[in-house]
Amino acid sequence: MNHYRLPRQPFKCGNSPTGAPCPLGPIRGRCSQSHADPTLVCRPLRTLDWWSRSIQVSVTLVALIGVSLAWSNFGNKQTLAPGPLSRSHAQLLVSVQTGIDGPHGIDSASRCDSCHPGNDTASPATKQSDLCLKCHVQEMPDAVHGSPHDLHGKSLAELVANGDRRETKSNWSHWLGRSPIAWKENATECSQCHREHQGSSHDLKEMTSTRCQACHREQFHSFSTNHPEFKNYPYGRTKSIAFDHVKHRDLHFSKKAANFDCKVCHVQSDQVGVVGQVFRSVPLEQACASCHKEPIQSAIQEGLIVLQIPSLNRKELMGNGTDIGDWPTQASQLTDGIIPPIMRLLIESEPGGHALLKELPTSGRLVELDTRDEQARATLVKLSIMTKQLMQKLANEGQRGFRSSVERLVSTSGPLLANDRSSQPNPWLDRFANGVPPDLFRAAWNEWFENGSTVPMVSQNPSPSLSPVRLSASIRSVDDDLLGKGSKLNPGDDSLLLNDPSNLLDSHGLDSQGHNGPPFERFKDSRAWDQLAFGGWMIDRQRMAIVYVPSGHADAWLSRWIELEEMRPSENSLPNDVEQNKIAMAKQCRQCHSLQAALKHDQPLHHDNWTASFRQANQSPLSQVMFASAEGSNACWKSKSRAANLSPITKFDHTPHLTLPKISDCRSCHQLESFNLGGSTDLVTKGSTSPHEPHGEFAPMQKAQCAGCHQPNAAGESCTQCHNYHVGIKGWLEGHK
Amino acid sequence: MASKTQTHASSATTSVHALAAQHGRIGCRLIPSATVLVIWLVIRSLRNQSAASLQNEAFVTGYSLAAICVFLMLLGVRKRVLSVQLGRLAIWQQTHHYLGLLSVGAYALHAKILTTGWLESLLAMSFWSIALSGLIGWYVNRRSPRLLRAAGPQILRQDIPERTRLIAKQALELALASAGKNDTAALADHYLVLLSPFFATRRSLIYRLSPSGNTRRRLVAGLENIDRYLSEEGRNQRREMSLLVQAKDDLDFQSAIQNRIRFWASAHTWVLGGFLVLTTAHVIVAHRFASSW
Amino acid sequence: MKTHSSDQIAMDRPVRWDHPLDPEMLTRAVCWILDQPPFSDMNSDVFPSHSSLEDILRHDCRILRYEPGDIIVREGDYGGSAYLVLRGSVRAFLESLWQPRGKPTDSSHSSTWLDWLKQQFKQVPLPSQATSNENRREGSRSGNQTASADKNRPTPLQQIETVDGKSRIFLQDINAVINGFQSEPLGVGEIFGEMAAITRSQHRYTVVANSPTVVLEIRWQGLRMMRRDKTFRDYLDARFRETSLQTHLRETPLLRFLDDAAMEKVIAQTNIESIGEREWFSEYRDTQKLDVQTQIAREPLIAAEGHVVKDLILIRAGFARLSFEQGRGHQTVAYLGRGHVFGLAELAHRFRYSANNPLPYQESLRALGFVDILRIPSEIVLTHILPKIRNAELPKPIANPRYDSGGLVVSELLPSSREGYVYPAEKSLSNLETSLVEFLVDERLINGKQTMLIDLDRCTGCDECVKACASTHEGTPRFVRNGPQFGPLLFAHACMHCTDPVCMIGCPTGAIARDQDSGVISIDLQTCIGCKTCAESCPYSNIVMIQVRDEKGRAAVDRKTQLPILQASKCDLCQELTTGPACQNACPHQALIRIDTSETHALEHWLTKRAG
Repeated sequence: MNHYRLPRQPFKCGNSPTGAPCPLGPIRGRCSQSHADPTLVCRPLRTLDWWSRSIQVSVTLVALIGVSLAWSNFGNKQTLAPGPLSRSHAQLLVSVQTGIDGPHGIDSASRCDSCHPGNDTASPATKQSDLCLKCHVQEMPDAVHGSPHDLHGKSLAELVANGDRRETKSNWSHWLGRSPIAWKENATECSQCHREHQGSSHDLKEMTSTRCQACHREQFHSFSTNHPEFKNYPYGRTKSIAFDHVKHRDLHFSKKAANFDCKVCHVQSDQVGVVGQVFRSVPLEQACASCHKEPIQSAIQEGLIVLQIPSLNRKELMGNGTDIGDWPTQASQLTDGIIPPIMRLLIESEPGGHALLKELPTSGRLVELDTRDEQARATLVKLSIMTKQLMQKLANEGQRGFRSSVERLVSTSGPLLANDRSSQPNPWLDRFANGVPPDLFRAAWNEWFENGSTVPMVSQNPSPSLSPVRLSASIRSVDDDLLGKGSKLNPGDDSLLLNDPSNLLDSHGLDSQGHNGPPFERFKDSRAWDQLAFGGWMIDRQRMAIVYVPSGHADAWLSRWIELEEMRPSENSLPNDVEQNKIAMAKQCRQCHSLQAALKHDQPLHHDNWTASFRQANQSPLSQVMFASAEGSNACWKSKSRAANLSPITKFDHTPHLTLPKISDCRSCHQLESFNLGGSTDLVTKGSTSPHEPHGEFAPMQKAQCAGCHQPNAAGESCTQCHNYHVGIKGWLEGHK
Repeated sequence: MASKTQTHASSATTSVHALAAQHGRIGCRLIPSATVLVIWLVIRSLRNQSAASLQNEAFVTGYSLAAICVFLMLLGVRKRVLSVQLGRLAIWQQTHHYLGLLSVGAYALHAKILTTGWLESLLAMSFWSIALSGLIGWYVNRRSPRLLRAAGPQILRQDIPERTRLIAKQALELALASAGKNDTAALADHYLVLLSPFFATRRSLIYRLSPSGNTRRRLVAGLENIDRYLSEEGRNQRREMSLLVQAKDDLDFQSAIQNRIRFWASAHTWVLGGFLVLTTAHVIVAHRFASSW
Repeated sequence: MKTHSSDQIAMDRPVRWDHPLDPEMLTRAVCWILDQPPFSDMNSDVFPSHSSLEDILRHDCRILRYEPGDIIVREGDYGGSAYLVLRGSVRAFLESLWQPRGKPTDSSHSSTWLDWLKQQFKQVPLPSQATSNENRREGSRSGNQTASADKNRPTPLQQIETVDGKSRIFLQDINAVINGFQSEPLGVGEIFGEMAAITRSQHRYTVVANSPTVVLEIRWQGLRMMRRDKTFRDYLDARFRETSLQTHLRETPLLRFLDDAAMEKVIAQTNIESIGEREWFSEYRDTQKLDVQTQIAREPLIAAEGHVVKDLILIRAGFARLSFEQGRGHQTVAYLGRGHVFGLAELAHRFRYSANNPLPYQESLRALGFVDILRIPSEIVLTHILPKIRNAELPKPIANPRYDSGGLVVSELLPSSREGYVYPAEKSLSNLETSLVEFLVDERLINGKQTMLIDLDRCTGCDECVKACASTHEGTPRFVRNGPQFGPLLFAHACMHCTDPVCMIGCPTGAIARDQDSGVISIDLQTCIGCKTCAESCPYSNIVMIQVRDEKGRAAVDRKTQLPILQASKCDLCQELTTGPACQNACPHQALIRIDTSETHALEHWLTKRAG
């Protein structure tokens, strides 16, 4: 007869495999049948139902136990970590358990707490971002506000205003309540964009554009279509070094039949800048030296006259009853010569110097002074005295004297660094004074005013102020107390003991050569540059002058003078702008360098220390220059690095681009606007027009050039490829200049 | 000649069954797929919205995934609740299938295929094991009816051993019968050598995993080969034997397929409890350590 | 078995009459009844000692009292008892009292999926609804008639009120109803409701108390015992004939336009005939083993094809096979059940087209098991009935007859191509492929009202249905997912709740009974004594004897014999669930449905849907 098959039975009759199961089957795992013979009594078998049920139970139990173990081990929360930290963070938080007892070795318990707030250690109030910023604040000081682009105050208000306007447009983005722009007050969290625990190789900075488009929804659906056009990118910055590409390519290089290769001057393969190995300018030796070194040399070999004894027609003066005291014979024939610009500056720094300079002819030529004129003669006398005073000062007070006088010059020209008075050490001044040799001045004094070279003077009524005796006495007195306290000798002053460089050499010669040395030959009075090929100080006996020969390109001392000359406002009525009164060599420099331009555009903005430099903004130009060249890096002489030119909102790297053969040639992106070579005149005009202005010689780059490759399926068009988020106020202003 | 005057006779009784059957077809395809599509779109847009408002979209996707899983588990509840009217189980089943697919999609939105971190990895693994077994079971369920129909009239899984034994018995008797006479003995020998193990033992694991007719064909062919040694009577016996072989093979086939169905059906439920536990833990941890969502 | 004593609990084997119909039946009452006719003149010797007439009265009867207007028997309810009037009088309304209410469910065929969705969350219809639909339909038929007769007729309101705990259903304003509807009075000593009780079918009439009435209810087990008394049996049969004859004829829509005079004539001329065994199942068991053709040959022939049409045959109960000779065998065209008519087409043809050379029967009609038929002579049909029938309702002319007056027509055409003799009402009959029809008939599945049909093209054998059934029935399923199989259609071994539930016949205690209005046949485990009668008499072996176990699964054994105590168990269509049969709800693949196979409509509909 028919019988039912019971479902969900944990056991089946033990006889079922053999094919003779009891119809009722076992009950509670035991044979239910009352079999007559015990052999038929079966040991029931387990069914698939039984097995699967027990598997379910055991799996659940195992899971429960595992989880609860992990939980009980909650102090060590790493067991619950969803994944390894990114490499940098992992290194920072080296766990003790990993065995590495590094300096940062922290026990695993507090390891999580160092980023996850609200645990046993941290107070629940602290947000995770606060913990992040413990370390990251110096990179992004404004990030503490947790506001969009780290903005706050006015700029945030303005940004949010814009944002709100967009927000209203975006159809149902309020759907989830919190629209990102509405977060003016409640701060964003780092973790909203930077996702940790994604594995050690995960780049925390990599970002999907949706993050940006939370706010920038309308404009930026795709780069090629929605991104606004570039405005004169990446040019539109004044150049502190005037280099005319067109001119060089079409005139100079073509003349020399040289290859005009961008990479020669713009690629420095041994270092990496903000935009890769491409630099706006490379050292002179690499780029310009081949052509520009020689003219510079020829320009500077004359040397820079620091102090020159003006030649005065002594007889004539005497004849007219004026005495100028001791005066070198070579400089006593006729009244002639010009006061060199540096000497003028030094004079100006002296008390009464300003007045004296005013009396001198604007051209600076002494010839124009009529010696028969009483007034003029007085001027000449003053000049002679001033000259001696200067020499004495430099001889006696040495570099301190020099520094003080320069300082006086500077301080006349407006305030120094804010809250900075001469009392404070000023690195710029110190460097300026560095290397000025007093002994040279002394030697010159001795040579020209002490030993026989001077005409013995016969004077009835010597003016007390001008008695050479007093002068010498004064020097001697100085010598005495110098000898007295030798301890406080200037490093330059000890050469005081040997009277003459020639003697010095001589004695050396004797010492070195011994008695049976070769016969000592007479010095031939040679030109300066023969001996001072690499720059230095000397006495020029022809010109009766102390000369400084610059060491070539980028000579520190010379550049200081030029800075001074250029930067000090000419508020005083001195004719400094007259050609003769300017430092002649500066012309060479000015061909390429322009301090004005350098200052006109912005501080060198390296992202790490822009705040520091930013604090120096809105200061007097000179003090800016001082600041810039304070650290010996002649910052305002060099062309600004690309970093200075990129607004912090944007970033760019040449390296990946240059690897592509298609655009490995710079000109594929940076197109020089070429001119018809027929009219070289307009070339010149073109080139020479305002070399320091933003140069239109490169065609500004178009968005299309980038959009060619930067498509969603090609080079990618994510916002963060070219843009930085954390810009802060400064960057914001930068970006919106 | 018959006439039937009760035209509507009792069609009312069955009209509703018929109706259900009629719409069942449409319902089982159309409605669940539509629902699933809608849900999918909703989840997508929710996720985009939360991402757009700088929230942690993992929470949106995670919770929708959890919701889907809960609904999927409700099928088990529905199967046990019979006293309350909850709609046809067929609809539930179909929805279960579609939502199962949807859950895989939601998972893709939520996490990588195998995530990092042991808790999450275990969770992912359990999810995948459930999803995979479900998919396989689905396929098996769709395919098996045809296979079963191919293997003769349906037979209950519990009855298969008994039938097998009966067939073996018949075969043995047939062999014994043939053993007696000279002109039929070949069949007995053949049975002794080849067939008795086939009838007596259960099939190899390979066969039970993927049943095929090869053995049957081989045996039947072998049987036909011995016809030459047989008299007419022997041939008849041989034909019976072939039929028995066929029957035995059908039974084996049936049991293989039915066991396969059972296996995947139960495998689908093995890690369910563990999955629930891990999910709970995962949710708690996520909330505990998430700084923002 | 000593070893398993812990698995068993000893108890007394339940016996018949443990649960009498009315425990408070007083001996005095029994004695009093014994004095009343017809019991007074019954011969008490014919009753065996173990069940004397007295015992029968005590255990299988009870006394009921009714007020005027109380409804004692309602048309359409399944009857399990006969009623004998002891005092007062009642009225039997041979025509339906109630107009159809609401529109039948099957009119919502062309519904949007939205309705379907609602459908999903409404409960799967209970057989109760189904059968009540049926009632309505029958009601509607006679309703049309009444409506056509005269419009202004009161609709009797039935009210329910509870008097001392028992709720009584009664008609308001009984007199108006009596005047308004045709009814016949029944007095003391007359019996009613016995027809339904014996044939395990529905009541065909409503009986209302006319005056303060005392009625003796005899449940059908008792009635069967009483039939041992000859006079009583004859009385029953006689009464059975006339009432059933009348009611059936009155309910036959063909005759609904007849005036009373004509109807009287028809009733007079018609004679009723029972063919085959009431307990047909035992014979069916034997014949089942034979091959189909011999089976058919064995079936008692009601009307032979090719013979002259002597009368119109109405089938009143049971089933008949409609077949014709095809080659060497018989091809089954359809099976006819209650309410079907045989021979009308031929007569109509003759009436309208060829009065002079009439066509003989085109098919033969064979009794499947037990059949009740009424024969109306052709003349009566031609003279009184056909003229009254509208042409629309008349069958189409027979285009190419299989037999004509000359005998077999030589140019034999395939039946399918002869839609000439198939007309709309019946078209659906021939839509099922013949093999399926034959299968249904041979397996006697035509008997099923809630047949469990499994589509093997969808079934994966996941046993969800079995599990569902088991969990609704204390862990023991009530069916076997196996059974006769026709192609992809598996008719599982689950109770079909037959139109003719032969299982009920033998039951000595009435444990197995048909629910009054749902028509669901269920076994009352309190009264079941595990005698196996039902299980053996069920032709489909859908009743299984199971060991009685307590909730711990311990088997109950007889205290004396130590043999396990069995009980009959079968599908009860999840009566306790509001959601309908659990098996159907639980099938995840829509492979299993409960379907009415006594009519072909449902099957056809389902098959067409299945085809897609």
